[in-house]
Amino acid sequence: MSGTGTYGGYGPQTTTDYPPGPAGWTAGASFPLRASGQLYANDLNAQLSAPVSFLAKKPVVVACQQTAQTGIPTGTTPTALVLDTEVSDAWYMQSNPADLSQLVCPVGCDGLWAVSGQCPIVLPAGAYSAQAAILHNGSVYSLGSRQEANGAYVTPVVSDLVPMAAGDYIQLGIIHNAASGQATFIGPAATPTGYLLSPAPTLAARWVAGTQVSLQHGGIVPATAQLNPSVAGPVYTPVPAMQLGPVAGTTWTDGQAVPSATLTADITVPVMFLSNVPAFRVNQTAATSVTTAGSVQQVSNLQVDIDNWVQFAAFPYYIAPIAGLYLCGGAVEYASASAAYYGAAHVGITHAGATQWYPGAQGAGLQPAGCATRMVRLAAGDEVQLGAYQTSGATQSTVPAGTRFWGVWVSE
Amino acid sequence: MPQPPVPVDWPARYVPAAGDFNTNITQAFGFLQSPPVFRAIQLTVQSVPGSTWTPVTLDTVLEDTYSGWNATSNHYVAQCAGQYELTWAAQLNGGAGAAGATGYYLSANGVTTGPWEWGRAEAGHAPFAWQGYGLVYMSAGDWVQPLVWHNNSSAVNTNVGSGTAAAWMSSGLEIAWISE
Repeated sequence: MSGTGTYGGYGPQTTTDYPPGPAGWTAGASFPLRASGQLYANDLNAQLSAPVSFLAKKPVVVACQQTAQTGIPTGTTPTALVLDTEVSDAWYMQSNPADLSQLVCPVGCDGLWAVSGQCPIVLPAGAYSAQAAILHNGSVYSLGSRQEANGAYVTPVVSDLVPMAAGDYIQLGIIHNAASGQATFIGPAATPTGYLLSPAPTLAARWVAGTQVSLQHGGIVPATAQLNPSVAGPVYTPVPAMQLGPVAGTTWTDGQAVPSATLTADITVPVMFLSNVPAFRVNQTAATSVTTAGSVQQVSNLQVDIDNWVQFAAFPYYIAPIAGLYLCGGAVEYASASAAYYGAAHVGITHAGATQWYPGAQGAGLQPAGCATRMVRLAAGDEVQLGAYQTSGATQSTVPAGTRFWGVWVSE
Repeated sequence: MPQPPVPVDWPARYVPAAGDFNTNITQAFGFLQSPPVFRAIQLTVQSVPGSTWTPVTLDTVLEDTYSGWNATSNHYVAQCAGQYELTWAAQLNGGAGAAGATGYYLSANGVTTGPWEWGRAEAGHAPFAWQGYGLVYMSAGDWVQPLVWHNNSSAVNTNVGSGTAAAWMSSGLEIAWISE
């Protein structure tokens, strides 16, 4: 636990009072129908109501900055931005009053978090640029888009999948190469006045998956799970083989027998599935070349960082283990050039041999970086990949430190 | 139409009826596995005037599991309360000297607010695409609408693909309910 906040949020109050997160569950076992054949209330409460309460009220936090932050130094080390205004924080994640830049992982919510941010900033005239970053426990976890400002304000963005244990914290960071002393940009009041100002530095996060890892997942690629997040985070716990995935559910009728196997299939499996949905993250380990203004090119030299369903076996593609809507994000940073150009990241899906590219937010400048985050519909077996596209007029190399790809199952 | 589950506190010695299981097991997980989802794209070129926040007209609905799309008003209406995840993108064809940004209008409790801007890029370098990714709380009946903005001296057209199977996806909006 690295945070200094209380990280004691117990979430929205409900009619139940149980440990809110997966850490409080006895998950992974068959449903405990008692020898007497009775269903005990505490079984239903602990293994049905508590997980459903959590899964229906998953931790979400959105915080922003409404008073411009000045004195941001130049350099390559991100400056954490103070988030002086909570937009949504039912789990009390902004729990360190001494440092409002921190959003702290609540107790019981160890796992993977989808994190996004934007950093409006004003820079002086010239080829100066700014880049957004996500910090994890004070260190750079991911770099986002980089934008040249040239006397105006721009809004670099960033998104990523971040593993966090209770007490860990994330921050929104900004990097720029103008003289020290720059300031964030806070926009005018949205219409009608009286609401928050926009644009504004904003950091958002939501819990997406827990820390149990399925070792069997649809029979597609049974293999050893990848358990090597690049930063210290939650401890992953393999669970017994279980056919995870969405369930059809039973239409119950009065007088119907209640066998343990049915309850396991209808309760335990969906609880385990919804708290361990497929998720992945890969980092680039070595630069690759991207030709100019051609077709979008697949980014390779990727190393698995998170892959709880072991679907990166067909490297460098991620193969969707089950059908559904997936949130996928990626960033591509490009090498420096003598003239400004733009570089973009794309999310690509390949279905039945045909590939479609979803453009993201481009970056522009002498050394641009693009960032893409899109929800895409995948069939089981479809491939998703990270794409690069740039317009410098010459071949450019990627910069591995700012190049990665991630995704998570969202819905059937 | 299923709504987000409301967990119950099962009392001791209570004998569940079939309706209890249907509501608290089958429908609860049914909703959590298949919450409201919406995706739409633009396949008809749209002219976007300079320096004006302009709603992106989405003419092709790819999926709308809770029938939240209002085609007449070109916005998505939440069918149940909760936190919604939004990703959206807009592509403009031309405007080499223009800056650009995306955003959205949010109508909550009958009051339309915005533009809520996201992801502004500077002028120059032949920009073509802007994109956003955010979390928005909506009560049932609230709505969102994607926007695009540029400051080219004259109107520019959106850049659309040749269809849903195009290699280059058009401007689009994706929405999913993620939490109460």
